[in-house]
Amino acid sequence: MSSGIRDKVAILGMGCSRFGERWDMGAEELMVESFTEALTDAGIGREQVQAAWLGSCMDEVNIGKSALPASMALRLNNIPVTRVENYCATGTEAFRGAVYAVASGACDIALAIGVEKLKDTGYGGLPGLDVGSMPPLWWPNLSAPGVFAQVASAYMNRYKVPRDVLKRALAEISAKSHANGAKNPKAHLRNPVSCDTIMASPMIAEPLGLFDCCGVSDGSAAAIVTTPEIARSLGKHPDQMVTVKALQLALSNGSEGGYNDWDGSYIHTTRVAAKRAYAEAGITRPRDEISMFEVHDCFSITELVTMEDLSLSSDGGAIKDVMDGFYNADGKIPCQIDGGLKCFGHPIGASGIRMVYEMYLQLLGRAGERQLKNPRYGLTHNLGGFPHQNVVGISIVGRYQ
Amino acid sequence: MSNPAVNPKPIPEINAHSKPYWDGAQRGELMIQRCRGTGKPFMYARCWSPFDFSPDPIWEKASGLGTVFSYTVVYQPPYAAFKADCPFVMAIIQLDEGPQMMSNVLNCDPESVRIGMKVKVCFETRSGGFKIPQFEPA
Repeated sequence: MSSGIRDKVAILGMGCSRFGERWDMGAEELMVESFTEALTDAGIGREQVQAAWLGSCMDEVNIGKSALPASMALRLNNIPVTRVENYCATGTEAFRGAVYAVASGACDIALAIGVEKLKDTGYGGLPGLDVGSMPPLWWPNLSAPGVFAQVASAYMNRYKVPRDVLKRALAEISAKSHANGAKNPKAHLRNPVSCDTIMASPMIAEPLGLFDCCGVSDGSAAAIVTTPEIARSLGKHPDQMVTVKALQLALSNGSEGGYNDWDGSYIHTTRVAAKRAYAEAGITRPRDEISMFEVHDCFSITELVTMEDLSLSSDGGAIKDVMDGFYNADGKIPCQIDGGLKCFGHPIGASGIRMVYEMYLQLLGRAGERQLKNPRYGLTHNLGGFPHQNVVGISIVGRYQ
Repeated sequence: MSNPAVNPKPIPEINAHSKPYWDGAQRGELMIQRCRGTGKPFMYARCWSPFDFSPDPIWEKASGLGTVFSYTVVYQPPYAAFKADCPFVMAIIQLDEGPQMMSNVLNCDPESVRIGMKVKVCFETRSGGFKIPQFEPA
């Protein structure tokens, strides 16, 4: 019988590059930027890393196939390096590989690194994915803003929310992320934006305007993990140690999109993964116990429904919580304290690890101007794909106990 | 990579499993499949049932009637080929038979589309005369 991942793996060090338009660097250099920070933080040499997982999503426009680019750029010691890809949840997938490797006892110190270089495409969204020959039957004419906008329509229909009420709450969500991102020196977008400006922005897919959509970025993030015992032997004091409390992944199986088991107003897999993650971490009252969280705010509506899918807001209650400032930097459970995908940025393969990076900094009191008071548990939510067909990765990290 | 900016609106790549679906569309018929084991209908085309993996599902003509399950109005085209269509409705249609499919709702004011609205199948002709199932108000 599995006992879960709780407290079996400690984060020894983390690093994150500056996100944004990194014309000065290629993907390899971006990996070196996050890796060297993580090595310094961990206090080890690169020869001590025994296995690595590389997350990169868009191999067509990025570093190409295989994990060789990471092995070569980081001059790893001929160790096993595995490349993983799971849509926009790729970063969490890389983290999961490294965490499981350590938890299994197969190696002592493992690396997860994610990278993506997207601004060279010259396009504000994601380039098209090679999807095979069948999807034209059932998702013709799909656009990413379009499918998430359909969630907004279904949400308004389910809870009888007037369009203007939802639009205003979505604007508050984006304004909050801009306010937070302005305080993050590594963030892609560092400009505060008012709700009036957000609501007046050009419409992309009703009711989502330009400021309801995150962009894409160049960037990299890295995590070095080990066991709590080895971390202690390497000089990490247990009071200054962050451990993984839960790490869950849930994938759609086709039921949401095809067979009417779903009303379109929430993300089914987030609910499944959250339930498993809370059980694994021993959390029974998430709204009281989670101190802060990073969600996959690819669109503002995704963030809104995720608050409910994570059982932090009641079903239909997220709009009130958002308008009450519950998720603001000075609220009860700050969300996207680093700016989120919306402002920190979204280099696909790095995003899941970037979320853990912020929770790690906050837990160790190293988040500078954004530092929250005494956080206990941080949660990350990484969504890949579409509302009806997706990959959801959730991690919960906290101080070692 | 292909450059979507210079391509016309896409037409599907047809394979052995999806051929009856696309052949039906060329005749002006919306085709769905039914599982031999459970009797349940499904979309999209497969050579086995997603319910019990029984082989050789039955092809049948759907009524072509359905309701809008959810929708949005797209103002920014995903590719340049869709620019002339903007603003257009991108909707999930729940067929009267049960399965859902993504579609556009054509031949109406985009702002008039609502969840629960009754729609019926129609066919959009693309390059080379190829017909794509779409929907319009019933």
